[in-house]
Amino acid sequence: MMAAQRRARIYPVVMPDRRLRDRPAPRRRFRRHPMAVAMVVAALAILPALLYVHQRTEAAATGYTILRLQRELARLESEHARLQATVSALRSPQRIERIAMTELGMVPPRQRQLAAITTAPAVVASPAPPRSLAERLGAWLGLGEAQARELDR
Amino acid sequence: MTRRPSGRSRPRLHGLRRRPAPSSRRPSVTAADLQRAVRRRILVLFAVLFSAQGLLLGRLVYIQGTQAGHLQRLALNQQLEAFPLPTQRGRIFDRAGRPLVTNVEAESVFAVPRAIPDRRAFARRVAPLLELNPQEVERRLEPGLYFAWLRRRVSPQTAAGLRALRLDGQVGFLREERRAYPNGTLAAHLLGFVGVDNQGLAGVELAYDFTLRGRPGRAVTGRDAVGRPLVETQRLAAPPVDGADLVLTIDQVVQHIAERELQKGVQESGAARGMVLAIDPRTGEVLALAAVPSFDPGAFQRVPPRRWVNRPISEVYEPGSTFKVITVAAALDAGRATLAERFDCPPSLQVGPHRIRDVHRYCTTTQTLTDIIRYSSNVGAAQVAARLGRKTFYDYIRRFGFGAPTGIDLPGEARGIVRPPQEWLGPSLHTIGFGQGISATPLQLLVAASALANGGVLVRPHVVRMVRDREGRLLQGVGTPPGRRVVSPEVAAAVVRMMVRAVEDGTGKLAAVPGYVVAGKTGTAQIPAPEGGYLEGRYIASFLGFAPVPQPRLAILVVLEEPRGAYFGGTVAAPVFRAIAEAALWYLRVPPSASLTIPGSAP
Repeated sequence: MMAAQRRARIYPVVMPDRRLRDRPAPRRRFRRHPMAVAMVVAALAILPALLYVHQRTEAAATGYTILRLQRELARLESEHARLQATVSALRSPQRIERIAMTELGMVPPRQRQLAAITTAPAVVASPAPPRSLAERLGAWLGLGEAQARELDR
Repeated sequence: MTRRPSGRSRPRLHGLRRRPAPSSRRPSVTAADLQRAVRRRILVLFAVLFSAQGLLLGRLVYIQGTQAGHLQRLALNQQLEAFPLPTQRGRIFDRAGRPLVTNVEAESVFAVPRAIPDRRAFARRVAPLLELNPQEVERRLEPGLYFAWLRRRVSPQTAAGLRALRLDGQVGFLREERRAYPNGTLAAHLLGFVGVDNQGLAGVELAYDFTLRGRPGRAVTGRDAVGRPLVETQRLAAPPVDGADLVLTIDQVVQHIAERELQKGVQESGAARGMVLAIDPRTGEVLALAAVPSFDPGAFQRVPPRRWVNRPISEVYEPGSTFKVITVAAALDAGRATLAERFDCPPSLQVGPHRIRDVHRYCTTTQTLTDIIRYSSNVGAAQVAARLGRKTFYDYIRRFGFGAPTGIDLPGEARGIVRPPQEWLGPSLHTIGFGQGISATPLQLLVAASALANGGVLVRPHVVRMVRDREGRLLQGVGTPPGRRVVSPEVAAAVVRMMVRAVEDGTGKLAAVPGYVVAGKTGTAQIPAPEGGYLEGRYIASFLGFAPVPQPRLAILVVLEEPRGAYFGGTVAAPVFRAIAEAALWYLRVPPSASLTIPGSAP
């Protein structure tokens, strides 16, 4: 034993490959930490279920929100239609005329109170004078009028 | 390590044959026997299990394969609910996009008769609010029923009153769409009305019911415990298609002007009824269609059904002197008369035993065609008709569209009464010349006369300008239908000039609109008696006119039935025409004519 301590030297030795059955199998590794493994398995099994339940719950909640908004939309559309009908009734020429004549003391316009104003005929643009060859060339080349004139000089 | 079974607790093995032991009384069971027995039992067990599984599998295949569809349907029927998706009925607008008919929501009231202990007391409580007879309410509450309509589409006040009665469980409310006519009685005969299920019953509502109605959809949904639909389970079986909107040719303001002036004219003349039609002679677009007395299309049940009739297109009358323009146009176009030709002007015309007279005696010797129109001479028109002859005159009458529907897109149009020439007995040829012995609707007469204002081309009248979807996109534009030439443009222009003379210094002076050249013709017709002949002292006064000449924008016919006192068309109907034309021309921004000279008129 003492000799062994004295001559403590390590020699590199090529060991033969360990047989497969000697390696610690994964299952064996898990056996060392059963709680952790159980937790992981439980998490892996339950998480999708939880996600699924969460998704369904959210979908149902969103569905109820959509339903509520649909009812709100229908209510607002109904209200809009009712208001439009009211506006149309208020704009009825019969009603306006009645208010104008009875409450505001207005009368239908008589011939003398109306006048047709003749507007001057629209000015017709005169045709452009014939352009010089340089201008036409400039326009064809995509140059502006000023540049074309410069060319003309 | 097979343990030998002891004699005290020997197992009873089924299927193990006991071997006889000649030397010993105890049976000897070998290990091989035991193994065989166990195998046999396992085999039996597996056989039983496989058989059971096989049965289950077979059942599964039967349920999931053969019966799958049927069972799925049963389950869906139990879990899901199919319900119709309602559509909105299309709205109706005037030509400027102003709403004439729209939709509003209203509540309908129903009862649950099974939940009502005392039907009589219940009826007495709700009947006054529903404006119904208690007996009527009680009659609807048939015992044993779970549902009975009490009243559809009640007002918000009625619904609030019923809720205040706190009849929970006995009375319920459902929301439904109700047609709203925001302008009240405006254009009631034209628009028509709908029934309790929003189906068109008259007017445009009926004629375009298919377009307005749309197509209801269908959806399937699951419901939660409290009956709310689960949105995530909703499936659209058939999408709903809302009804299309209609844009009419009528103008709300022109319609109002027509109704206002017609009402005034009816009141002032004491007439029993009145009608006004205004169309654009170039396109056939109906700008206004009014009839007095009118009704509210939202409460049409409150008036007698006779009042619902759209008389301008559904009732015929003898047009009287307004028909003379057709007679003269036919004579000119057929070459049977000329503008310069002069006709005799006797005090009366003897046709067999019958004598035709003029109401106004204005000439002594001869008269031209212009004079016949200008002074509305019956004698002259009878002579012109005689010149035409039965066959030619009949052909022209039919060519102008009399005796056949005009094809307007409204229901219930009458075709008029035009008897074939072989049935023209006695003086019929002559009397038809001045509009007696022939019946036409006001629309037929106006459309025929409008052909003269349109250069001799007859157009089909119509009331719908375009069809749009709810978002305002054009689905169908009606446009101007192709016209049909009935007389030459020269003849048409000549007759219009004669009508201008009638307004300038003839029988239609009261129709003159300052600043505009107006062409017109008066009419005063007797009303035929059911037993033959004519009713004494009862007339139909009318005025037919165009403005402004030479390019008329308006063709208007005013008909006043049975006026009291003055009854001549030139006296009672012409002022109504003038009032309508004056206001409408200004509203339509038609500039006044600078001169009253008619281009192309003979000096």
